[in-house]
Amino acid sequence: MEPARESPNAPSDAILEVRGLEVTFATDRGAVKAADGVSFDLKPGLTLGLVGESGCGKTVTALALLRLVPPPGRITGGRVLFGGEDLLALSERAMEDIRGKRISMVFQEPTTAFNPVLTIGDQIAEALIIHGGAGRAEAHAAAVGMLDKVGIPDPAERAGTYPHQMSGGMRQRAMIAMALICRPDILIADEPTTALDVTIQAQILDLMGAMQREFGVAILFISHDLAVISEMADEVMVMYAGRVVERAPADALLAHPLHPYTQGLIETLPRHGVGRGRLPAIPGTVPDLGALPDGCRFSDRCPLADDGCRAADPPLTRAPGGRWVACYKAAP
Amino acid sequence: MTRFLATRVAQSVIVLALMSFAIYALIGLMPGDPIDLMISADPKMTPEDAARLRALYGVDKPVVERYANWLMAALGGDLGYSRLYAAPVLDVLLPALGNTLILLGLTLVLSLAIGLPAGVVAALRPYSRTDYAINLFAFAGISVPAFWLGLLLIIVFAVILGVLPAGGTETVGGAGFWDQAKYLVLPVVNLTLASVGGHTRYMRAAMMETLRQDYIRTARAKGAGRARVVLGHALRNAMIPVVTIIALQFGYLFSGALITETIFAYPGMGKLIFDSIMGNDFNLALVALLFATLVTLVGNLLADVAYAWLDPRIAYR
Repeated sequence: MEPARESPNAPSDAILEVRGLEVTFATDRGAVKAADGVSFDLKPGLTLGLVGESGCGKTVTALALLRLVPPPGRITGGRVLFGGEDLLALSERAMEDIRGKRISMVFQEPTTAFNPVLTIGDQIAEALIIHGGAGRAEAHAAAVGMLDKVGIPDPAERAGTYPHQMSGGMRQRAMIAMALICRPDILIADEPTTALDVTIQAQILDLMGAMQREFGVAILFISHDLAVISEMADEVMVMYAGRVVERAPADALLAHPLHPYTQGLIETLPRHGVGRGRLPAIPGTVPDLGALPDGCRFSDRCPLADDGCRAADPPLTRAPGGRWVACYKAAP
Repeated sequence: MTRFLATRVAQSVIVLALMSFAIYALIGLMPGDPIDLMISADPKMTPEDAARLRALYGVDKPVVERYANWLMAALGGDLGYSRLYAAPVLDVLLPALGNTLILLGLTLVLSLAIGLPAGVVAALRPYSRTDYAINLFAFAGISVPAFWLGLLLIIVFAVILGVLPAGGTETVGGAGFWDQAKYLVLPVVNLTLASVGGHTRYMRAAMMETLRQDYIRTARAKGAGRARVVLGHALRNAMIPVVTIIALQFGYLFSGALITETIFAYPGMGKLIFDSIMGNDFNLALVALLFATLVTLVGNLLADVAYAWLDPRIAYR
């Protein structure tokens, strides 16, 4: 194990500090908070895994870091501290200088995330042209070099092809090349392997690990798949209905989940050689953000919930071993 | 691409040939023929005279035989004689064709130059005041009848202000570029106002749709500013559907500017087709309609070429 895992809570070494992030969507039935008081740190060279079911606020949290939340969503609270500055307070112009240069993003669908009418090489080089003031030829050469680094064969020729002429796995490699070409401090990967088949998925995960070692980039890795997260992350954060319910070093979280929701997620993982019966499932469904249960948001699906849980929402509190959990019933 | 073009040109020739027969047959189905008009013009004409004239002009033969005769002559370069204008068909047609292409070209350039940017601006801030203002003008342009607007323009600029001529193409004896340009202003403005609203709305819709795409978010995540996102990433994608509309409109405007041409006494193709059909001038109507077909075919071909240029996913083989 890397020694860095031993001290996940030392405050000074964080490159990005998110505090109380709140994203609100205006809907027909009023405002709903898709992310509600989300706080975490990203540390150089380490990966924070963000896990949760669809609609729990993972993607919205990621987009909020770059201030790309689509309307009718709005960031309504919190701070995103990066290099001593609150990104949420920057001008749009200053934010453009951060995007793609200091913080970049890899998206879920490499098929739709590339512009269909521009070549891969041009799209990768564009980030350098925007930020580095690089000339076309120079940026193009750098793009070819980056394609080579992410393991695309014949990169010079590939740079001249269009997205539809590449396979899904190749496109995702190219997407990673595009995200890393300006050597960012932070890479946000929003379900980067979800659209790929399993063998390609493993290759992309390996590639991201290798790129992290080479460039020392901090990664926020988002997935609904705890198995993928466990492979990638040093620390894991679990979100449920817009809230962080648990945060812990990856090994500890997988071995001893404290929150009943995390326990449920881990139990639903299929395991080799164990049983042939039905996979366990968490009863009920994710609550509608517009009609949350009183108190703890998980209380209506939680086997341990009592009147206390339904009376007040449990805050995220420190637990032994550098962990955080938002549950009154959390097993110590 | 070369092979695609060759195929399309061949297809166009076939379509033209089929259309020439269809138009010929349809004209043949019209009540009355040129001889009927002669009879009504000359009460002394006897049924025997009429029959002799029908035989002379060949109108008594079956339509297929007549068509075959026409086709042979046309392929030999003889498009026939316009009865109405008492001149060879091409001599009547070519000036009208030139007039229409000038009118149409100016209208298209102007309405694209206004409509496309207006649509983009509206799409950038949907449901804002700017958007509502642009939409108001667009819907007004679409909704106001062209003939009413044309009359209004004449009343204001020709009658009340007296700064522009009400109709025609040039002052008698006062030829010259600026003189002719003055005569074009009102018809071009009229047609532009009628078509710019549509262009604006199509562009706005296509741009709004494009700006919702994932790759726009990717571009923004790269740090691209608004101008780069819109001009570098969105515009080319948004133009793909708009090109179709423009191409279709091209063919329509060519022969459909009848009302505007009539109001401004502008001798273009729309008016020529209308007059030749009303006057039972078969030869002229046939060739004029074929030209309209040709222009529509060329418009569609240009649209296909434009697709391939805009969208690398479209490869013609």
